[in-house]
Amino acid sequence: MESSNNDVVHEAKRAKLSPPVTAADDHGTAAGGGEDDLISGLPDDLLLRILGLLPDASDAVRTGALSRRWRGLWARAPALRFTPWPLDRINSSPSYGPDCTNTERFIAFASNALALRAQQSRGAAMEHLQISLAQDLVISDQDQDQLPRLHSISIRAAESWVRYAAQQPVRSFSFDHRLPIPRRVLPGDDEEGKGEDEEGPNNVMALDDLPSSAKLETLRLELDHGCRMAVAAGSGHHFARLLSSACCPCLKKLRMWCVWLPAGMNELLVESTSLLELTMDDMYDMSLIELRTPSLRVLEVKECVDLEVLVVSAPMLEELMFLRNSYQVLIDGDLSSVGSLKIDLVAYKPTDDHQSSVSLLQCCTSARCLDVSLQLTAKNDVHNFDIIKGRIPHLDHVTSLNVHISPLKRHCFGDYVARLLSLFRNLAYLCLDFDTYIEPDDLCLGSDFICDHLDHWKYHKISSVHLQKAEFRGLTGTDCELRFLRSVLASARQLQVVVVSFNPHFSVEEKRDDFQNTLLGSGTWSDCHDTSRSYEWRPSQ
Amino acid sequence: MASAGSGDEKAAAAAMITLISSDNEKFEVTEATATLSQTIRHMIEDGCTDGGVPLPNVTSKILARVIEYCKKHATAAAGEEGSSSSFSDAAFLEVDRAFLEELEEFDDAFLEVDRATLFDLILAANYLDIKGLLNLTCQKVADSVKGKTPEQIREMYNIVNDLTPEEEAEIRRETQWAFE
Repeated sequence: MESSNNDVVHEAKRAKLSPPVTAADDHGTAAGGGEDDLISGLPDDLLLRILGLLPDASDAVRTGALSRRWRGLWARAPALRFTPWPLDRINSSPSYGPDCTNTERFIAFASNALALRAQQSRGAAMEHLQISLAQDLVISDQDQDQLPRLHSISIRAAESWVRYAAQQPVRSFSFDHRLPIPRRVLPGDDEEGKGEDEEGPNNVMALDDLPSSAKLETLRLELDHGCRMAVAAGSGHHFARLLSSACCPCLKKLRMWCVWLPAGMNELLVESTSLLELTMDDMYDMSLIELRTPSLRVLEVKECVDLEVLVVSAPMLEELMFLRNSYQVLIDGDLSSVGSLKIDLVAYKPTDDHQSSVSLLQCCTSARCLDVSLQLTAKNDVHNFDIIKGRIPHLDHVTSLNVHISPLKRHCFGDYVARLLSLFRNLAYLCLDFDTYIEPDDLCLGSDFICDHLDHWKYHKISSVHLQKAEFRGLTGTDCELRFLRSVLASARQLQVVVVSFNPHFSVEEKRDDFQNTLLGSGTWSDCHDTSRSYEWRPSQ
Repeated sequence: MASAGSGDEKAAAAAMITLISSDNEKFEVTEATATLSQTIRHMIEDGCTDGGVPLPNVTSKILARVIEYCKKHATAAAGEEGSSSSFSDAAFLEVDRAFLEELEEFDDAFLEVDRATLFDLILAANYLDIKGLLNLTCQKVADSVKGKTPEQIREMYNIVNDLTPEEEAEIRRETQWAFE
C-alpha cells in the first residue's frame, strides 16, 4: 500500500520537478522507428487518470494486455464502470446478444475483475465503482426458465459487490439491478405469488454483518421489483443500519430507486449525521419513512405511492421535492428551513386528497422558490379545485414561481392558474409552462382563435408589482390565453424581460405579431435563436 | 500598504502576471487567466511572482495553447459569477446555455492537435494543475482507447508488446469477457 502511494507521489513529483519534460523529447526512442510510444511514457498518475475516464471496465481491463508497463495498471484506476454490452460491442459481434447466458458471464466478469483488483491494486483508492445490470434482455422461452436462476446469481453477486464497496473502500458506489422479473416474483401477478412464503431467500439481498465503510460518500441503488434488500430478518429498521452513521459515517448522497424491503417491513428509518442528499424514488410498500438527518440539504421523495407518514427531522433542509406520491401523506416536522419546494397539485382529485401538497405549502414558511406541477381537468370540474383557497395564506415569501400546467383542454387553465397566482404578491420571477393536450376536434385549432367561453379568472386578484422576469412557454395562441397573460402582467411595473415560446403543434406564425403587439406595451421583441424558438421582450429605454 | 485606496484597487483590476516558458519566451496574462492554474495561484498567494513566473517544464508552443485555453475559460468563470442577480436561482437555470455551447465548441476545436502536442498539453496541465484542461485532454485519450482491441491500441500508440505469449495468454484468460 505504502509503496504504491509513494510510487505515484514520487513519479508525480519527478514529472513536476525535472525540467524540461515534454512528451516528444523524453521518450524519443521508445518505439524504435516510426512514431514514438508517447503514451507509455506518461507517469503512472496520468495513465491512471486516463484509465479512470474510460467508459467501461472492459476497456480498462483490456489495456492490461498491451505490455508490461500496462499490466495490472488498470487495477489501480480510480474508477471502474461495469456496464453490460456497450452498443458498439453489440454491433460488432452478433453472438454478443443480451441474453441470460451472457448476463451470467457478465456477472462473473465483474466479480472476477473486482477480485483481481483487490489483489493487485496495492491499496489504491477507488473513487467510483459502478455496476449496472440494467438490461433489456432478449428473453426466449428457454431463457424464461433460466430467469429465476439468473436472479439468484445476480442477487448473490450484488451482496458481494455491496460488501466489496464497503470493504475496499469505495467513495462512490452506484448499482443498478434491473433484470426482467421472473414471473413468480412479480407482485400482483397472482395473489398467491405475493405471499411471504413465495419470497424465499433467493430474491432478498442479505446484507447483515456488513463492515462499516469509513469512505463511502455516495450510494446509488436502483433495484427492480424482483429484488429486495434486507439486512437481517426482523424490523425494517435493520435495513437502516446500512445507511446509518455507524455503518457509513461519511455517507453524503444516497439515491434509492425501487428499493423494496422484504414483505412485512414497511417502515424505514434513516439516521445519519453526514447525509446531505437523499432521493427516494418508487419505494413501494413503504408506509412510514422517518428521517433523522441533521445535515440533510436536499430531499426528493417521488412515486412512493404507499407512503402514509413522513417524519422529517432535518433542520438544514434547503431543497424539497415531493412529487407523485400518495396524496394523503401526513408530513410531520419543521420545514421552515426549506428555500426551494417542488410539489404537484392535481385539480380533479376530491378536495381532501391534497393534504400533503397543501400541508407542504403551509409548512415551508420561508420557501423562496416554488415549483408546481399542475394537472388540470375540463372546466366543468372547476369547483372541485378549492384546495388552495382558504387553506393557504398568501405566500409572500415566494419570489420565484414555476408552474407546469397540463390542461386537458386548451381553454380550461385560466381559473385554476389565477387562483394559484392570487396567492403570491412578491414574485420577481414567474414561469408558466403549458403542456397542452391537443384534441383532434379542438375548435380553436387553425386560424380561428376566437374563444367565447367566460373568463372565470378575472375574479381573482393577481399582483405582479415586483415582477422582473416572466416566461410563458408552450403557448397555443388563443385569445383567452392572451387575455389571461395580459391580466397577469397588468400590474407589472418593473419588468425587465419577458420570454415567450409557442407550442410547435399550433401554427401561430400569422398570429405571433398580433400576440406580441398586444401582450406588452412599448418595448422591443427579438428572436432568441434557441431550440424552443423563443422570443424575448425588453422594455424601451 | 501606506498608499492604500484607489491606487491598489486599480492595480488589482489590471493585475498582470508574466509567465516565462522553458525557452525563455514571456507571456503577459491577467491574474484571472493565470489563476486557473492552481500552481500559479499558490505562487501568487505566496507573493513570489515578481519578475515573472518561470515555467521550466513548458515550452512556448505549449504555453501559448494553455494560455489560449485559460483565457477562454476564465471568461466563462467570470460570466458565471456575474449572472447571479436579484432573481432567484430557478430563473437562471437555463442562462448562458448558448455560451456553454460555444465553450464546448471551443474545447472540441482546441483538441484538434497532433498526438505529441496532446501529451505535452496533458503534462503541462498536470504540472500547472489546471483541472479542466487536464480532464479535457485525458478524456480525449480515453476516448481514443475506448472499444479498441489491445492490437489496435498498440498500433495506434506504437506500444511495443514486451509480454511473453504465455503472459499475454494468462492475462486474457483471467478476464476473458473483456477480450471478446
